[in-house]
Parts: sequence; C-alpha cells; structure tokens
Amino acid sequence: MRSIAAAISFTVCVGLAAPGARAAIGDSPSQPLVIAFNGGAVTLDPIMRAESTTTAWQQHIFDTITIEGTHGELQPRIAVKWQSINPTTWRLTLRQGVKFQDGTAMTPDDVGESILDTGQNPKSQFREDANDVTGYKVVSPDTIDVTFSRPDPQFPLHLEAIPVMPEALIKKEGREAFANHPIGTGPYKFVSWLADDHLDLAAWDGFWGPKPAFTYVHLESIPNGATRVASLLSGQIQVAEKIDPADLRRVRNSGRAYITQTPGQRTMYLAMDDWRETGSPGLAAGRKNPFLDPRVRKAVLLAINVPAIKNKIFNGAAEVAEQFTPHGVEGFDPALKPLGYNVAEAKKLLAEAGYPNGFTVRLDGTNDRYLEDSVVEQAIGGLLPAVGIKVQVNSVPKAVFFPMIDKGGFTMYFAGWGSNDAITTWSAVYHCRDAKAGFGVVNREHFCDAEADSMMAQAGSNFDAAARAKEIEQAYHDADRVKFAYLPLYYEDVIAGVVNSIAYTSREDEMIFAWQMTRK
Amino acid sequence: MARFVAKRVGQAIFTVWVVATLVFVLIHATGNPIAVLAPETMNAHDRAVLAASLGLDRPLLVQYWRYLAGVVHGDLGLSYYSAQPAMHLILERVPVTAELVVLAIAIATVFGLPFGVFSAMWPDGLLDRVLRGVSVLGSSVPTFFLGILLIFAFSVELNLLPASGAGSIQHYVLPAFTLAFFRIALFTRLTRTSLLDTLSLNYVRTARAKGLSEPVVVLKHALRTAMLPLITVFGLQFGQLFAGAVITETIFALPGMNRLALESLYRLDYPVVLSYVIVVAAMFAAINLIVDLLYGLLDPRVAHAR
Repeated sequence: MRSIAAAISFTVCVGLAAPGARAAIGDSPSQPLVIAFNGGAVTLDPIMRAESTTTAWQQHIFDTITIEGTHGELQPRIAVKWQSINPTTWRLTLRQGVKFQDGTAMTPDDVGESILDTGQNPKSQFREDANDVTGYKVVSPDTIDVTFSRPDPQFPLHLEAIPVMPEALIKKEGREAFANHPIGTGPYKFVSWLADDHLDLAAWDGFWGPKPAFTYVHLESIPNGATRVASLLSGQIQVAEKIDPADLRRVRNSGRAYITQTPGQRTMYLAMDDWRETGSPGLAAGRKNPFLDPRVRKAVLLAINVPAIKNKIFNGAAEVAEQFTPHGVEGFDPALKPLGYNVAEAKKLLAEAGYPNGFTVRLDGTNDRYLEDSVVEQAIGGLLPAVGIKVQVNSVPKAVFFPMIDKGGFTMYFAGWGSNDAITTWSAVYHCRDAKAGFGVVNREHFCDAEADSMMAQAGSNFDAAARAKEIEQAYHDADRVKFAYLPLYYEDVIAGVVNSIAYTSREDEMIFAWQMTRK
Repeated sequence: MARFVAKRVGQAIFTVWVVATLVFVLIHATGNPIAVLAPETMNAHDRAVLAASLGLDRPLLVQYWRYLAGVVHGDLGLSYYSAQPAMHLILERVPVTAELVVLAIAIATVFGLPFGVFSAMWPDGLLDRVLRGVSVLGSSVPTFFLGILLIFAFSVELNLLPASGAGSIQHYVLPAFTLAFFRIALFTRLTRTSLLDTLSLNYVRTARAKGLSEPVVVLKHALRTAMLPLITVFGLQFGQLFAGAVITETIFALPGMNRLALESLYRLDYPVVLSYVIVVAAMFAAINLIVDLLYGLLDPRVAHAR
C-alpha cells in the first residue's frame, strides 16, 4: 500500500519536472517529433492495405515511384522522367544512386518487379494501378520500359501508389517476416512498431534526397478526437490529424497551435436507385421509384442546403462540391459552379415529375466511416421535407452498410469517394455494370450511359493531356448536370493541428509526412 | 481438493467452448469481412481470390471445425489485416491492460477499503454521509466524461500528466484513476455494508465484552469476516476491468488488448476478435477458480463443506 502511494507521488513529481528538461524536438530518440493519427497502420507490407493512415506511415520508409505534391500535382520521386514511347509502352528514367536501407543499391529490376508485384499479387490492394502491365524491360542501368496490354495514359499517376520494394529480399524472407522489419529507399528507416498503435522511425543517412529536419519521429494512433486535441495543446505531441470541427476554434484560440486545412480529394455524394421501377427497398411496398426521373434527382440536390451543412456541421471545414471530380484532379472543370440551394425550383421540378406532394424514402448511410457522417445524414433528413420528401434516416456501421448497398439494399444512400484519377473513378462508379470486364464495381445504383462510356474509353487511351481533360469534363458534365447520375454534395477538408514551432501544410491526398515538416 | 480443482477446470473449459461457439455464430451473422477488407474498387473475381486466400470461401461448418481445432492448438490463424498471428497480437497487448487493471484495483482498494471501514465505524456520522454522497457521484459519472475531464484538467491546464500513450508509469495514472473512480465508490459501499453486518454478530459482541479496543475489534476480528464477500467482488471487478477497459484504453490511446479487439471488431477481423474472446473467457475462468480457492483458505467452513 505504501509503495503504491510512493509510486504515485513519485509519478506526480516526475510529471512536474519533465516539461522543463526538454531537448529540441526530434533530436533524440527520447524526444521524437510526434504525429498523432486517428488510427494506426495495420501492416508495414506496402501493398497489402489501401487505406490512408497505413499508406502514410509506410511511405516514410518506402518511396513510391512518383509522388503527389501538396496540391495534387504529379511529381518525380524514384522515376525522374516518364515518356510514352508508343501507346502500350512507358519509358521510365530512374533516379541514380538510390540505395535500400540495408545498404544494397536499388536496381532497375527492383522497380520493374515492384510494379509487377503490385499489379499481380493476389493480396495486393493496389492491383488496379498496374493490372494492365504485362512486363518490363531494362533498357539501361537507369531506364526501364514498361509494357501494357492496353494503353494507360494515366500510368504516371498510378505510380504514385506503387512502392519500390527490395523484391529479392522479400522473396528470400517471405512477406510476413519482411513486414516486421521493412526496408525501403525512403527518408526514414524502421526502428520499432506496434500494429495499430505506433511506429518509431529514424532519419536514414543514406537517403538520396535532403535530410529531414526531424531525425527521430514517432507516429502514433490516438483514436479519440478530444484526446488528440488535448495532447496537442499540452505539448505532448506536435501534430494531430483530423481535428474534429467542434475543436477547431479551441485549437486556433489556444495560442499554442494552429490549424492547416485544404480541400481534400474525397467527394461526399448521394446515390439513388437508377434501375428498379418498383420494389426498391427504401420505398413503401409497391411504390414506383421516383428517382428514375432526372428531375426528381435534381430536385433533391436543389433542396439540400450544402453551405449550411458546411458552416453548421463542419464549422467551415468542408468545401461545397461543384462536381464529382475534386479540385486538383485532371478533368475538374473550374468553370462549373454549384447548383445552389433553391426550394421553390425543387418543388416545381417535383410537381412536373408528378410528385407535387413528394414521397417517403429511406436514406442509408454510415455512422463510423466519414467525418460527421451520421450528422450530415440527419441534416439531409431534416432538409428534404421542405420540398415534401419525407426521409427515414438509417445510419449503420460501415461493416453493415457496404455489404448491404453492394447487394442493392438501398433506394438512396450517402457515401464518399476518394480518388485522384477521374478515369478510374468513371470505370468504377459511372460505367455500365459489367462484372466480367470489371466495370461498374462501385456503380451500385446501375447508372448506364454507353455513349459516355465510349467517350471515357477514348479519353482513357488519349495521350494528349489537354484533349483528355476536355473529354473527361464533358462526360462528367453530361452525367451529373443533365442526367444527375450522382449528387456531389461537398469535399471533406483535410485538417491538421500543428504546434506553433513547426511549419507544415496539409496535403490534398490525406497523407502526412514528417519529412515535409520544418522548424520555424 | 484435487477433485474440486479438476471439476472447476472442466467447467472452465466448457465455459470457454460455449463462449467461443457463441462468438463464432454471432460474428458470422453480422457481416462479410471481405466487404470491409477489399478496396471499394476491387472486382468480384479479385474478391473471390482474396476470400479464398483467407479460407472464407469454405462452408461455415468447415470454418467452425478449423476454428475449434485452432483453439485447441492455440493457433487462431493470421489477422486479415496485418497477416501476423492473431493470438500473438492479443497476448502482446495483455501487459498494458494488466498494468492498467492492477493499478486501478490498487487505487480503488487503497481508497475504498479505509473509506468503507470509517463509514462502518461511525455510521451516519458526518464522514459517512459525505462518503455516501461522493460514492453516488462515483457510480454515476460515465467513464468517457471523467476521462476527458481528467485529461483537460491534468494534461491541458496543469500540464502534469500525459494524456495519451503508454511510455511510462505516468501514462497510466489518469486512465487508472478513471477506471478506479467507480470502483472506489463500489468498494466503499460494499465494505461498509459487509462490515456493519459483521459488527452486529455475536462474536464481535463477545470481543467487545472482553474489553478489546474498538480498532482491534474492527480491524482484527470483524474485518476478516467482512472481507469474504468482498473477495468475490474484487475477483469479478478484476475480470470486468480486464474485458471492460475499452473506453478507457481508447480515450487515453493505450495499446491494450481491448482497444485492439474493438478496432478489429469494427473491421470484422475475425481471428483477432476470436483470440480476444478466448483470452478473456480463459481469464474469467481462472479468476473464478482463484476466488473459489481463496474462499477455502479464508473460510475453513467452505473447504469442509466440499
């Protein structure tokens, strides 16, 4: 009993003494730069899990072949140049003098094999980024030619997701053993970790690029938003991602930390049953499906006050969506403005479509997947009655929601889509469903426009970037402003809180990299 | 004695089997792990390949049989997400949870026991009334609220203790207090009631009649008897905390086994969830066994009754 009391008083004393005795953050393993995430990486095998936190942690150790800049622009990384030498061949010029963290030199074969592994490994979650790759040829010590079964003008973009792995070592050790002490070519080397909890890193001397400002880095998971903010404001951590909208003001007014936010690449949208005349599960039995009429879809969009959602729910930390394609992505049309909030117009459209008194529909959505998801669903349920559409809101966990909507168990649902490639997005979300060819995997509402599909197929093999962007813009405009295939509502902001002594800007792709942080 | 222990161990194994089966059935009724594991864009063929690589394409009975066989061999398969042995992931996190629970129970005992004794010695006195009031508060404040309150007071405002993580003993102080708060109230009330009951027994009157001082009567004679029902509660609380520190571990970002189990449940990582349940069920069974044995030691009548 006495020893416990002693332990507690000792603890309090040590706690009191600690803050005074700090070395500069990031200079010693006991005072690392600490970045807190909403969750933790589940694996350090760089192709086994396509999820932003896992990827962000891994990319401290592994370089991708190209990389996305802070504002979405394509930048060189391991590949310094890329050139299409014919429609089915990309020539990559590789950076020279790159080494793996075990000291072995990176070879062109490592890059080629990494691309093949990513595209073909049955457990790879990035297969779609390289599944048209048929092989590669080493042309010279710094050049490889990658060959394709069909033209892929967006390949340099897909290389942003493909990590360079020491393929020979992985083959020797086995993937599972390798994932316990990963070796890449990135700025930090692995020190230790606990899955789902933390990853300790140390800057690697042999890195090809500039040495990061912070030598020792500790990435950790703090799942509770209030705790992340408290840890940030108490100086225990230096950067916290995903600050809850309700806490933005607290951080800004603290005098200790600031908020960096940028529109992200995740579009939050509504989808509606586009194929069943009757029998849609979110309507009363025997009711006709009103959403087959584009006027009804347009009316729903007009009846949702997105700026109010942005201001009241997100405290400004979201952007009203003009279109499905987010900012910074090829095919984004800067001239397009949001449709706006217009109850009178919505009522008129509903009357024209034969629903002057509206109807009742269930809205399905998640309650544990997106920022404030269930609150937004409630808000939509509160806004639509103004035009006569009564809504039963059904917010469920993602583990229930996705299997349900994949099987068609919805009439109207609310979800998000994040991608930096409008062509891939089209094949998954808009393309007429074709299970065999792998089209329309996420087209749960069965939208189908064969003409637009062929336009996008043409864009997908067009190596003229400007012309390609125009084709993408056109296809999306027809789908979303004429047929109202999907109703894009807003883009989630990427938000981080950072202590005043560190300079950092949030990235559009939701990644957080310690090597992009500097001392002020 | 040996027969008694054997019977108890048999019961414990049966309990673990029932729990393991229940969890298997419930978890397979709730959702499809591939739907959560696979990226949204993955096509049907690739999903089937993924399912097959995890053995999820087999009939449920086959999966159940494999799972039971795994339980017997202590091998519950690999986590779908990290590809590491699921049981290892859970066991690796047991120490953090154990430290938290032991500290919480210690704090609860250090405060709860004397509070209860004082209350029983002077029932309806000022101290008793104050402690009763506080214990109502203690049993009604929700964990998540208390946790955040402590964080804002001791981490943000006073900057005395860390709000998250598990690097040193300092990290455990706030979460342990959060967990202990309700138990302090519980132990106070239980000690008080049990001790009051004992103090009205004949043998205590005899002790007093012998002219023993009140502290000797209470602490030496009455308290030992009054402890018996408390031991059961201590045991149960120990088990409950072990499996019930989910909210505390999450708020304070402690890498304990409960937080991992919760996160694994969200993403339907069956092997990890099942390993967790096995560990918890085994732990409960073990605690019950220990409590039973302690009872026999402290109260000879119990041992004789067998």
